[in-house]
Formats: sequence, C-alpha cells, structure tokens
Amino acid sequence: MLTISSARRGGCLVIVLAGRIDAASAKQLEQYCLEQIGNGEIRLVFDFAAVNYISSAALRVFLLVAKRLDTLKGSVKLSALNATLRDVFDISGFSKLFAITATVEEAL
Amino acid sequence: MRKPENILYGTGDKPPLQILLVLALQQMSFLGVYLVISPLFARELGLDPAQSLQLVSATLLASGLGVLLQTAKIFGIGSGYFCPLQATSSTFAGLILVKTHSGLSAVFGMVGVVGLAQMAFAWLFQRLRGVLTVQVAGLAVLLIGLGLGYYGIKLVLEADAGLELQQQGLLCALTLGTMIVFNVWSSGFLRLFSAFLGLLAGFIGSYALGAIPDGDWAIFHDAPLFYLPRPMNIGWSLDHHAILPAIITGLFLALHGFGALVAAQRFNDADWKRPDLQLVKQGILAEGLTNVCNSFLNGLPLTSSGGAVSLAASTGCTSRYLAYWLAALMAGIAFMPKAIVFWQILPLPVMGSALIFLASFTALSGLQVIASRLLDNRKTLALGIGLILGVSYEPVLRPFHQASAEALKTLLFSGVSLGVFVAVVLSALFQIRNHTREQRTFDAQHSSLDEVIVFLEQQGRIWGARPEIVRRAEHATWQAFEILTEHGLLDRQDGDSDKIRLQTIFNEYTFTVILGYSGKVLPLMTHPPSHEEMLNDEGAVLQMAGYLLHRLADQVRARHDGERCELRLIFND
Repeated sequence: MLTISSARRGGCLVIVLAGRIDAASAKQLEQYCLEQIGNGEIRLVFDFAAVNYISSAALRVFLLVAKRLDTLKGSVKLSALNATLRDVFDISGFSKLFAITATVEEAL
Repeated sequence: MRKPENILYGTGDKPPLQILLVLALQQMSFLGVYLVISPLFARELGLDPAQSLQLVSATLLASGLGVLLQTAKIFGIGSGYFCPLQATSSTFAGLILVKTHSGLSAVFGMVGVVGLAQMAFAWLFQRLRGVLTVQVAGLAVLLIGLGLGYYGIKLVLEADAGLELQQQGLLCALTLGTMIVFNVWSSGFLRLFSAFLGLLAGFIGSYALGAIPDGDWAIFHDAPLFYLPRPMNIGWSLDHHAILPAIITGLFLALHGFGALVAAQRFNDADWKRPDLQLVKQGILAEGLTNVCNSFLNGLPLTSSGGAVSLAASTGCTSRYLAYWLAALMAGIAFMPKAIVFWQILPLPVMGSALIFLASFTALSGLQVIASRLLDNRKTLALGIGLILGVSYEPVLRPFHQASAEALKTLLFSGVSLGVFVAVVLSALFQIRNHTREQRTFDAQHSSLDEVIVFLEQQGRIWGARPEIVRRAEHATWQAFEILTEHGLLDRQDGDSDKIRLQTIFNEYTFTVILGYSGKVLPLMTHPPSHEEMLNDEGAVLQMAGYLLHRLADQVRARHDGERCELRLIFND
C-alpha cells in the first residue's frame, strides 16, 4: 500500500511517499510522476521518511523519472531515506544518479 | 577492529614517553585506591606490621606481573588488552573462612587453588557461548559500572576521618568537577590526564582543608623507604577444607574478569558486536596464572579491574605500552613502602569521586551493549533478575550470611558476579524449549508485508538479533516474496493459492531466513543490469531483484529438489 501526496515548496514539487513501493504500487507511482512532469514540474523532491520498503520495480521508476527530467534539464532529489533504503540505492548503484539528502529542507 | 573516536591511543598505538609516564601514574593513582584493601585485610587477619607489609608489597608485585601477562599475550595467555588487575574485598569472606578452619598459611594455598580454578573456568567459558551472550556481557559491564558508582558514593558519604559533610561535599565537587571540566571541555592531552588532574586537585584541596589527619602523616613518615618481599614469608600450605571455597571464589573472579575483559573489548572496538570468547579465555588464564604466582608471593587474590579499564577508555588511552609502564611502576612501588602508604592517606571523598567519574562511562557502556539487541521475555527476565540481584547485593548478603552454611557464603562474592551468575543460570534454564526452528506458512497472493514483518521481528526478539539485521532480513524477504509472486516463479497448488513456507534459524552469529515453495528456482545475479537494460528490458527488473537479494543478505543460496525450491538468506549478526 503506497500513499502519494505532493506540495509545491521552494520552487520544487515535494512528493511525499508513505508505505511500501512494491511492484504493484510502482506502476501507480510511475503514472503519478509522469503526470506531474507532463504538468511542467521538472524539479522533484521525493520524501521517503514514511517509506519502509522499495523493490527493484520501484528503482526502475526512479530511473525513468531521472532520465525524463535529464532531457528536460530538470532535477530529482531523494530525501529522508532510512538505512535499509539507502543500502538498496547504494547496492543498486542508483545513489550515484540522484542527489540524496538527509531531510527535505536540505533538498530545497 | 576500528578504533572508537574517543580513543586517542588505541591498543596498538605508542604514545610519546612523557605521556605514557603520566598516564601510568594516573592509572597507579586510581589502582592505588585498592591498596587500602590489603592493610584492611591484614588487620582482619591480625597480621603483625612485617607480615602486613609483605602482604601489601606481594599483592602489588603480583598486580604488576598480572598487567604484564594480560597485555603481552604470549603462549596463548593474556588478552592483549589493557586490563590491569586489582585486589577486591569481595574475596575476604572465603579467605577468612579458610583462615578460621585451616590457619593463616592455608589462606595462601587457597589463593593458588583460586588461580587454578580461574584457569579451569576460562576453558569452560569458551564453550558456553550459548549462555555467555552479548546481553550477559552487557549486564556484566553495567553491573561493574553500578558497583563502582555505589562504592564511590559510599566512600564520599561514609568518610570517617572526622570530616564535616560540607568538607566532604567540597572535596567531591572539586575532584569530580576537575575531572569533568578536563574531560568534557578540553581536548587532546589534557583530556588524557583528566582523572589524574582531578585526583591532584582533590589532594591539594584535602591538604588545604586539613582533611588529612596528623596520624596519617605520621604513618607516612614512619614507613621504611625500601622493602624486599620474600616468597612464602607469611606461610604456605594446602588444606582440603580450602578447596570448595577456592573453587567458588575462582568462579566468581572469573565471572568478574569476564565482565572487565568484555568492557575492554567494547571500549577498543567501534564496531564491537559480541564478546570474543577466545580472548576472554586467554585473559582469565592470565588472571589465574597471576594468582598461582601470587599464592607463593603471599599476596591477595586478584581480578581484572573494570574501573581501570574504564579509566583508560574515559581518558582516551588503552595502549598496551601504557600497560608495560604501569607494570613497571607497580613493581617499583612494591619495594617502596613509603609510596604505598601515600594512597592510604588520600581522603576517601577524593577516591569516591574518582569512582563516580569512572562508573558513569562503564554503566552507560553496558546499557548500550544490552540495548543493541532485541529482547524477548526470556532475555528480559534473565537479565532483569540478574540486574536486580546484582544491584541489591548488600540486602541479599545480610540474611544469606546469617542463615547459610559457611562454605556457601562465598557464593555472594560481589554484585557483578552474583548478577552475572544468576543471568547465566537463568539463560541456561530458558534454553529449554527454545532451540526449535520457527516456521510459518504464508499465502503468497494474500499475505502482506506487515505479516512477514511481524513474524520476523518476533523471531528477532526471541533470538536477540540486532534490529538493523532484522530490518535487512525483512526487506530481503519481502523482495523475495515479490519476485516469486510477480514473476510467475510459484506453482499454483490445487488451483487456488500459493504457499511460501518461512523458516528462521538463529545461532548467535547468523540470522537465517529460509523460504520454501513449489515452483522454479529464483535467479540470483552477481552483477546488476545496466541502466539502459532497466529502462528497455522488462526482465531486467527481475535481474535487479536477484542482484539486490544477493547483496542485501551476507550469503544467499537457492536450490531445488524437483519442484520443491528453497531460498536461504543468511545475515551475519
């Protein structure tokens, strides 16, 4: 179960995620992000504070968003990852693709 | 082994000579507190001044030998850590019992048997890793800290040198305040000497306040400048009545040593996870051998000093070179009665303040060790009852001493040994019906991550696994569930639901999760797919999942027997 909400802060769209991002919810997240990018949001900050699980399918979504925003000269930042999620990004090599910050405030 | 940030000079580091000398003097200043114990015991035994001097001098000489054996780590004896030895009044009950039954010379024969018993228990401890767990080690360290603090408070408040309460409070504030100021607000070298500076400030304050009685100064003046201790000067004999009290005393000295040695390991390694029982064995062997030698020198039984270990850690130097200099200093002072007497005149509130300072570091370190593991009801009760009995040592002691048989009185050796003994016995008792593998079957299509988390956290608590290991196990297990269900690797059974059998095993060193199911073997990858593959190839997500599993767990094994498959995820704890 994944809950997604967002708010504009400091010129960025802060997307707050809560729950687990598994294969099923990854599709929901992908659709949401592409819609926001389609609406002209090219500076995204993801708040992971309330996320307890991320699967390989979800990693693909973040890769897709990063590539899309790269072509639009936008940016994507990930913040407030717990130790295990940070491990997943490090192990997969994805942490090199994103700016990762300890808090949302740091990312803005 | 990674050196903690607060340690300036670790076990293998060699500080400059002048720093080593002052640090050795600082350690000697602290351990000198325990020199008071020898004359106290001499008084209880009714020794004449010459015998009393022999006892104190021999005990100090043996302490020097013990420090050397403990640190040098030769022929499989010694832990290699800075872990000095000290005498303790806790052994008095057993020693006096033997003196009453068998005479004074049998007391020193008993010290030798205590040493041999310690060496025997050292071998046994190494084989008891199932009950001498991380939590029991944490309890031992916590109890050492609480015991030191309690003794410190007693010394501050129960001073009998005619001091007024305000004077006692002033000396305590001066000594403790100086230690705190230099330890908290100074850096580098001054922090190294914070305990010594505190003791120095306390001594100067005592002199200024006239807190050192004239009688004490007279003892200092009358003491000879040089004394040569001679082996078996007081006497040596072996009596069979001494064997049982000696074995019990040896057990509790070994348990006390276990606590101090674990504290030394903990203080020296930022990544410390569990006691190294091989080094604990070697450390207790060194203590035992020291007491065998000590027996012939006519000294008091010795055990590792948790306080000295804490002092080294709190001031930032645990170097083995410090141990060599301390050993030399102890051996030197053993021949100088005037120097020995110096510690007898230092006012008790000053000594007590030093103990309170050291106790804070030790007690909190023990708490950290205990809290580093998940605790189930069995562990909570074993540790909780051990802790309560350990801190209630004195009230427990009174009725027990009045009612029990003479030989059993040595059972209540010290708060540390009593608490650890009870925790070990209860841990062993709670092993009953606690060794079966836990297993639960999940419906792959309808189970949620929360159900898996609840099961694994429950297992983690039962086994006392570290929380971060359980988190990783949860993440990897759910990733495996997802691969199996999302990528069609499970066979349909009876046309309705798929079942995954989840089993956990914990053996103190590893937390293992085994997934059993019918279907195809889960593909494990040693390399991740490229970013391009992730974007363009649907199969790459499965490859990435296999790679994540391979990396999240410390070991992964997948195998099959016909349609029955097994995925084994092993996490080092």
